[in-house]
Amino acid sequence: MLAELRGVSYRYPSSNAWVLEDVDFHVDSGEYVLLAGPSGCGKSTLARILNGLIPNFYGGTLRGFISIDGKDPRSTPTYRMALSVGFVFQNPENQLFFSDVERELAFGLENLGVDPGEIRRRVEEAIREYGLEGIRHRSPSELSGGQKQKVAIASVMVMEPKLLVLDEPTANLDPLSAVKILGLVKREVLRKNIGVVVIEHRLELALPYVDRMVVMKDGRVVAEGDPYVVVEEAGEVVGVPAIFDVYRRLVRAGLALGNPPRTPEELAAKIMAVLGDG
Amino acid sequence: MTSPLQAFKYTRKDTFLDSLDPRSKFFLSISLLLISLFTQSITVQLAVIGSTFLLVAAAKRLRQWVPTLQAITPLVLLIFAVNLLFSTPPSLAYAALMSLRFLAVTAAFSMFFLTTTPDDLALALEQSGVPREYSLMFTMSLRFIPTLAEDVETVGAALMSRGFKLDEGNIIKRAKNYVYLLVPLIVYEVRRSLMIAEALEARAFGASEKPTRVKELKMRARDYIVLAASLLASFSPQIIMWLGLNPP
Repeated sequence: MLAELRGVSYRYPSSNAWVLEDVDFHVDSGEYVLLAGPSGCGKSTLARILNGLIPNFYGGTLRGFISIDGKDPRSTPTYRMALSVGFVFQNPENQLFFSDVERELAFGLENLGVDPGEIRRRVEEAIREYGLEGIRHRSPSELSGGQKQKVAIASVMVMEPKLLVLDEPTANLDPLSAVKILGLVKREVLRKNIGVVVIEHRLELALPYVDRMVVMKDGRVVAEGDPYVVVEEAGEVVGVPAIFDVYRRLVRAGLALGNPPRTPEELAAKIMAVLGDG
Repeated sequence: MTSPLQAFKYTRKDTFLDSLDPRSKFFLSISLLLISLFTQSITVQLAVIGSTFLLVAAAKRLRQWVPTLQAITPLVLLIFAVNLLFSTPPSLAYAALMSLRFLAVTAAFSMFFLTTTPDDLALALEQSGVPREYSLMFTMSLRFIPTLAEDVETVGAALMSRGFKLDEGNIIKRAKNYVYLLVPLIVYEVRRSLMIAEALEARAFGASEKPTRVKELKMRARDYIVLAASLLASFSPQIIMWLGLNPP
């Protein structure tokens, strides 16, 4: 198992309330996990345990069994966790530190003391993979939101982490850019066999890509498993995407549509198939 | 928008000045500064401004450079007026000298910043022995200027959309208005700085005692030529005097 949490509880230093209570969570290599739940349910807290910002940066009390690529964040500084876990934040603006994309990509590797020749090789590779040729010397203020987030992901992926954690990476993006980012991450899962945990509110955008879904509420995991089963189970917590609502109504009306569809296109195809048969 | 700060904003171009090491360029600006400071001659001040003009023209930056000088003109005039009023005995030549000196120094440093990327500047600092924390602080403060400007606009717009009149009343009233802008802005920026700190940690900042650098600055032949020329230029007024040709 790439990362595993068992019976994990956490509270922030300034608070008496437990933000996470007895949480079990796991993610394996090559797995794309969607973490969903209402604001304040503890998703971001859980994500920050995965890369060691909790407890290293935030302090507080952390209990339970934690193993992330064999490391325990309580005894591993964040910069060492960064070798295993890449973290992409909600606002790309706050994670780009340089006025030049190339420098941005090199920064993490420089911090790790990687040999300059090797850094250049990996940066060039990332520029090619992420299609950043045209913007390699741009400053963040000259980039669109989608481009910024793409650079942020690339700047984390050059460090070759085994687990990538994204905390609402598309919150500042329009739906089309958001889908592109989620698709880009899917490509990385397939190509590099990394594990991914993505926090995302817009389920209809994320569901077509993810392998598993975990729903949290009030600091606990309340549902977990196949995304389509979980959406049914935890509909009141995370909301039911419109496409499911339509699907359910059609099934109730007597249409034999089979398994729930992943995308509106798939639903349309299923309906066409049924109507074609009739 | 042309603001005086525009003059210090780097734009990428491919000219001789751009190809120089920031250290030799800095030395060039410093030598222009020294000439300007150590001469009492108006002609020499004009020569400094003139040669900076030629250098900036060669670097194809006149379009950004000239507006800066225009923007600081009120300050130049103020310096002229103050020196004229308060010098004893009142001297037109002295006032002209002081205001031209200010113009010359601004011109020379504007040239430096217009042709040097902040990242190169930081590299030059690091390679001169400044710790990475400080050079990073420097580049990041430049990098986040547009972000801060956006935040000011956001908070201002939020206030105005609730009927707050930011730019009304006399100067004191306006200054007070800006306190309302400042408080949420400070809260906003403190939160932002925490998020930036988190992101720095996540990119392994501080992991290695000796972080490597993908780009190393190297002094080339042209840099040494510029260094030698700057050094020579710094002493040019003295040399001219020594030759018995007193500059007017």
